[in-house]
Amino acid sequence: MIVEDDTVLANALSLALQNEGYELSIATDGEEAERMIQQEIPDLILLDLLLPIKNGFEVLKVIRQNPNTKNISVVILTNFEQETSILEGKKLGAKDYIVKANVDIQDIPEIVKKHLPS
Amino acid sequence: MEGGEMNSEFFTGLVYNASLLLAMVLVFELLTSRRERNSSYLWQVMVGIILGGIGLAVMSTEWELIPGLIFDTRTVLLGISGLFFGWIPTLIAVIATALYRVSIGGVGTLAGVSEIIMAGAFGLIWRHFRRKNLHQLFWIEMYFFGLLIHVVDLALVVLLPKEIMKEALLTIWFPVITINPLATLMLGVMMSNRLKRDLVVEELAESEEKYRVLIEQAADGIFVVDTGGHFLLVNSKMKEMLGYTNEEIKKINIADTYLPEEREVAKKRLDQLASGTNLNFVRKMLRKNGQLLVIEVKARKLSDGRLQAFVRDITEKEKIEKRLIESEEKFSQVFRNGPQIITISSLKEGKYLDVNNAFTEALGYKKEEVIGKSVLSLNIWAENTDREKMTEELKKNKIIRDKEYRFRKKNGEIITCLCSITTLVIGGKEYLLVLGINIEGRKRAEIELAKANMDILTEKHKLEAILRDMGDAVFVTDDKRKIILANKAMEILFGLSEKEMSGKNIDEILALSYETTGQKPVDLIETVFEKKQQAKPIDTLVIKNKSGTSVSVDGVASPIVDENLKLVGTVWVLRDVTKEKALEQMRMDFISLASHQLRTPLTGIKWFAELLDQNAPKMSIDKIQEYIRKIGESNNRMIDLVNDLMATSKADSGKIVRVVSSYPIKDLLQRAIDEQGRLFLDKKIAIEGMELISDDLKVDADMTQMVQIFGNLFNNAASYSPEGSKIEVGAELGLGRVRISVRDHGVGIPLKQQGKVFDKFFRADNVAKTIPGSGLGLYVAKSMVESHGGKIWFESKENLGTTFFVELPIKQKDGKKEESDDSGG
Repeated sequence: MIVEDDTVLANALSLALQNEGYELSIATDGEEAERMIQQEIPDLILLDLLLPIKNGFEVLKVIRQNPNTKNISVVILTNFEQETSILEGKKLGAKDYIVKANVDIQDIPEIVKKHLPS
Repeated sequence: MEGGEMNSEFFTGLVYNASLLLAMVLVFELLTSRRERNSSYLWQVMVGIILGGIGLAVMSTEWELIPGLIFDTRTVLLGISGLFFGWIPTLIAVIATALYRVSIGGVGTLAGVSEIIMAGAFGLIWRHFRRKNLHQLFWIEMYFFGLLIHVVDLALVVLLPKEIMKEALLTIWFPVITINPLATLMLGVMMSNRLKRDLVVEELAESEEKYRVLIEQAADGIFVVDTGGHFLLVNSKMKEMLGYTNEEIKKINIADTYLPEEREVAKKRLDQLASGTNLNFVRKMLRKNGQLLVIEVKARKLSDGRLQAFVRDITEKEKIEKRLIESEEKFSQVFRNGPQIITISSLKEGKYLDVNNAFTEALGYKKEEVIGKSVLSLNIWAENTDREKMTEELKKNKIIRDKEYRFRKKNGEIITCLCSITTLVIGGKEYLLVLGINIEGRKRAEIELAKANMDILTEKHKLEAILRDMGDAVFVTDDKRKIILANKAMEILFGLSEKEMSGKNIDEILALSYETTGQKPVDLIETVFEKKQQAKPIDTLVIKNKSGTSVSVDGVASPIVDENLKLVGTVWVLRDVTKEKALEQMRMDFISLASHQLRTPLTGIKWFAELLDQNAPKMSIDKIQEYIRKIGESNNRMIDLVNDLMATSKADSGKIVRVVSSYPIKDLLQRAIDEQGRLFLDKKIAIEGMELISDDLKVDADMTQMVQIFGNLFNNAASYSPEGSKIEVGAELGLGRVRISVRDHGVGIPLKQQGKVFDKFFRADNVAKTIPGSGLGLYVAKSMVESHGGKIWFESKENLGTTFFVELPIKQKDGKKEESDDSGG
């Protein structure tokens, strides 16, 4: 699942992953993401942090509090880069903290593959 | 006489007899020395025997008138003996002559013995009365003495037998009465003269003795030398001075008592004295033991050609004089070179008699410029009334002690002296003695000290005030970690009064801990108290103050050490960095957000470019165009964002240059609308209300900023409104202000988020995903409105629309100035 409020980036991500044959769902704000996770538990979440309504951390906390969702692999994929948020992310059990601008779009499938539970 | 007939034979015999007597006494007289006279009984006996012998001689050459009746001059001898020799010799002579007469026998024996006794007794009686001045007897008295004896002698005729009495008397009376008194007179005068001569000689001897003793015992040394300088006579004092014995003195020369180098002088002096010159001089005299005496000598030539000198030992006197001179020298030195100013000036005219070096130095005069000049002519007193007052006071009190007076130096400078003044009388004239100390330096130092003290005090007050009021919290501890001073900021920071803190141990008061670890800053306390080094916290500290709130502080603790590097206390300066921290956080957040915002379109460009690069050969033209459009869109967002960031940065730094002029509101709004023309056209938005705004409604403002503010509001209004909706514009005049409103009928702002509308990077949740924007526009608009002294706010309901209000003052305070600046530039 991709949680991304920027349509251009969400578009690029889905383009990149669709080619690899992944089943994708896209949420564009925190609330929508939470709702969708409740409906169908994804294998992996690429989670942006700065999101309308509810930010990524809030979403992540909710996921970790729910016994059904607490073990979902989460990779934080954001352009927001702050030491405190990196620490916070690790604390909340994110597999990785990736800055979007620093990653090539063709590497995204590799990242997904790496953190997908086998 | 024993009586007899008067005839020439008898007369001649008696003269002869008298002559014999005189001759014999003369011989006796020549044989006896004056010294032996009366000296002893033996001598007196001897004299008696001699006199007796003379008597016998005289009697044996008698003239015999008749057998057994003899006449001679024995009465003369015995009378004179009694008178001049006293009773021992006279008694012996009387006895000898009487015995002799008895041995002759005859008729005249009784009369003869009687006359012997009578003459001797008569002389002794006469002597008894005239004893003291025998040498002064006059010849007339002697004659009378002789006449009286012989009158009595003639009267003794009565002792002769009656038959010869008359004849004897007639024979002898004339020669006896003429010759015998004469003989007595002659003998008496002879004796008296002898006595007189004896007395003179005696007196002379006595006098000579006296002088000898005088010389011998004189306190001065006296000596006599010959012209060659050999000692002839030296008195005991002189001997004592020389230290030589009598024998040694005879062998030495006067020159030997001179110092070797002065011996030539000795010779010259002897020559001068020999030529008759009297000399008075002082010289050094060499004693036998080599010691030197200083002697004063008076020397002259005696009548006999010898040279005499009186010598006085003045060594002590010399020493005393030397000491006196030294003592005077000392006082003179004190006067001349003493540190105190001393002047002596006449009381009346104020003329200087003498001044010392301290005076000349202090006042810059030369001594000769002052002596004899008057105080007034030199203008020495800074205030002449001072001198008048001083003399008045001196008349009353005799002395003035330690009073400050001001004097004028030669160069006109005024100095202050601490003076003691009194009067002196020298040669009957009154003088003023002034003793002074120049205290100008001290005075100046005092003033400077007072000034310095004042400065220090002021400085102290200043420092205290600074310390009290400074924004940083300051407290001072002693070496025992007790707080002894805390300032106002400290009180506020800890929420405790200085009273509550002072005297308390810092561990008790200092609820300090490190922000991250929560531990007490033990390292700070140790470093400053134990190592005596300045200490800074390794991390931000947190204070939990009395009310329980946490305050972030930074600071520094410094030791206060004395000159021996012993710790006397510590100073702590703490600064509340809560706001700073918040600002820092904001800055960090801004950077994070800004980079996030920038990265997002950049990532879009990057990723679509990559996708294009990767997939272009297999892609349709439409797809490729779509990707390129996305890249362009992202690029535009980037440009907008960078512009907004620039504006934000300018707004934040307050460095937006305003060029203020008076503009009609309508024009400003129109310009803003024109700028958004494209957007309005795209979304078919209609602007209403412009025609209702008066052309006369003007406002002082920076046009560019106004266009930006309203442009932003119009852009938002259009962006968050559905297609074909309308935007209403209005402008109202208030009290010196104008209120502009922009109303849309768009999505509105969620109530929850209305408080954050003007925050940087704020995007409302209901538009964030769908409508692009940096979230900086309203933040910048607000900054600009406020910089014009205006206000911006809004009313909004979700899904109904939003109205933004901007209120601006019509006149800018600095409007005119800036306008003229503008037109001038």
